Amino acid sequence: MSNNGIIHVRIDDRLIHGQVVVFWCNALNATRIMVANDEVIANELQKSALRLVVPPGLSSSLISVNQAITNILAGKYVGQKVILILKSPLDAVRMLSGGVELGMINTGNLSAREGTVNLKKNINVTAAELDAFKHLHAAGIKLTAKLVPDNAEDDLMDYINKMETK
Amino acid sequence: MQIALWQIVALTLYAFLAINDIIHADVGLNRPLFAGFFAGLVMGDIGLGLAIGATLQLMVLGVGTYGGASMPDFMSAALIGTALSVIANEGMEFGIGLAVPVGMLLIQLDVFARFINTFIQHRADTYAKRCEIKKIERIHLLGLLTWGLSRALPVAICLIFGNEITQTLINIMPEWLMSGLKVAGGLLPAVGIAILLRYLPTKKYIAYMLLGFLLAAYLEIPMLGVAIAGVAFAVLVFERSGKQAAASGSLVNEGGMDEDE
Amino acid sequence: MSDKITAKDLRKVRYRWLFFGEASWNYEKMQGLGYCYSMIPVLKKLYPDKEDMKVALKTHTQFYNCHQEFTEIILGVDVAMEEKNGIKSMEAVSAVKTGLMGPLAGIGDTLFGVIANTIIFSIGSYMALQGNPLGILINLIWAAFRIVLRGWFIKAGYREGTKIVTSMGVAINRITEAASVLGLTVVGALIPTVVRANIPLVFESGEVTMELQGVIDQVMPALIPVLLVALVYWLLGRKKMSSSKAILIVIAISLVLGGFGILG
Repeated sequence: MSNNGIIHVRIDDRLIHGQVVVFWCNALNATRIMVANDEVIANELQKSALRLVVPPGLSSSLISVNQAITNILAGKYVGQKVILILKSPLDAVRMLSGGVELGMINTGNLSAREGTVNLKKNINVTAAELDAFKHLHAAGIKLTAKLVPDNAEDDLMDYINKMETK
Repeated sequence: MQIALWQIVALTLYAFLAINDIIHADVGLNRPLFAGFFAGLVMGDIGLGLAIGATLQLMVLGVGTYGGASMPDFMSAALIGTALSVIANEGMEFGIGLAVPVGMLLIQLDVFARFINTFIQHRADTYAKRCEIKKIERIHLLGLLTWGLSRALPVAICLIFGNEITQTLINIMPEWLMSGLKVAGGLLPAVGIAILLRYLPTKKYIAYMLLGFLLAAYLEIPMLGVAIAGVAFAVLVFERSGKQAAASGSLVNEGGMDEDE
Repeated sequence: MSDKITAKDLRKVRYRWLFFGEASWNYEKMQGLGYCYSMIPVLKKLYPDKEDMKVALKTHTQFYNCHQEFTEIILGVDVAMEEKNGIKSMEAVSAVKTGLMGPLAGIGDTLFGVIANTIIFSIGSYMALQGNPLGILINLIWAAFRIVLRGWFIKAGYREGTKIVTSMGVAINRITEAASVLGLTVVGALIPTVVRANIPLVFESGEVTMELQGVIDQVMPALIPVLLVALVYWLLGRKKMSSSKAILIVIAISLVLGGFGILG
């Protein structure tokens, strides 16, 4: 894991919810939750809702993907413990292309939508998202599929390979 | 003793209702404590039921199926453990020794039930496309059955064969195992507490945990008394955060609620 | 706001969700179908046109997952939005559901799921281990309160609309913090009371007998429970460790130490 302050990257299309605040924040001793997403920051309702759920005492960053890239590269979070939450692997690819070092990416929930395939209980991907994951894997990033810290260290690629060989 | 039919029916019915309770109104039926109490009531040994229920409850304090995550089914386990303990005429260690592995194994049935309901979902999606509202409503309610059976079936099976199961267990369980399980019954709550401390902001408010420990361990103040002290601390913290909010005019995130915009 | 939706309609939605909302929970759409089921009384009233209804049904059978007791807020807001703008509000409604379900789940799971249950069942289990079932009654009272609160939630959501999120604002954070403090105090008291680890070893030297447990108690009461909790807490932080494994480890330790009479 690099030392840019990001200790955990989670892909979850519900962004911040029960699993994140109950299990992950405390387990990782996070000091900050960051949501990097373009639509969210444009939506006042979403932003105020997300601010609501950040655990007391933690800092929050609700910013666009580009802003996140800029801030991280500028070393703004060095020394902190940031949980970075992205809505989709496509955003992860953007951050990677922007030069951000992401040691690992854990996928929590990607809901079933039109055109998605089911990889694992809570993970459903579109074709574009599947490609994004492969791209991230090829770049050497460890991809896991751990819903909560208690789960086994499942490798997301195992599920992708299993689905493709069916 | 031999378990009677009415007891099997009562406990099975309880299991069916309990799971459907926790996903809805949640009056508490699905909590191991409740289940242990009810099983104790039905089987004629409330103290035993409470002891087994409480021990199991302490192992899942604050644990929940948040977002669809899985957790052990200690409700069914409490019913089964208590009932079989009474049948075997054994103490709580027998019940716990049985209930813990059973509860952990039953996770699979929970997962299975949630998967089975996918069929309901697909049917409902078809009805939605055709605007068949009554069918949507009916098929949705069918899910109550899936949920209910996922708990009622294992409970029923364990109880129906209760006599045989306990006989076998008593025959194969050596004495040292039983005394070991007695110790386990006393130690297992520590696991629940440790798990819980990983969900709560322990490091941040460790002072209050120490105070609670002090009051109980050294001053031997009963739990309700400690709870009152806890409420006092909570009120103080609440008032302090009120002053902070008034001063800074915004949320109480000490680390700063900066939006980085 | 027009008066198409009555208090009675809102009640129907509320009770459908309260008693049957999660019946069809599945990994694909989670509570989605249940949400739709709950909204049907209102949908029937607002969308007599079949094509409109189809659109509404499609929107409402989408993925949905939230803490079940906070969903009433979203239901209330939803009903208000659809009553105002009918079928044209569907996209906005979808966005509101999606946007709020995560955060409200976070609050509900933390406050009601973890903290409240910890407090109530710590007290309840402690009493139960002493043979007292009062904890059950305490929980029933708390449950009654929550059911009433949910009724208030749906009305508040309907009345305030999306403004409700900002009104909840700071209060939620403060309540969560205070409740965590209460929770941790109670848990601190649990350690010496519900974890029972007794060392029955006795040392004899000539005429002097010394009970080991007595000596340990002189150092600190409940020292062993404290050490055990600390050990498991530390274990849970290790890679490849899970709660299930921790349970098995503690059982193994119990069997070994119990079998040798070191604990008992």
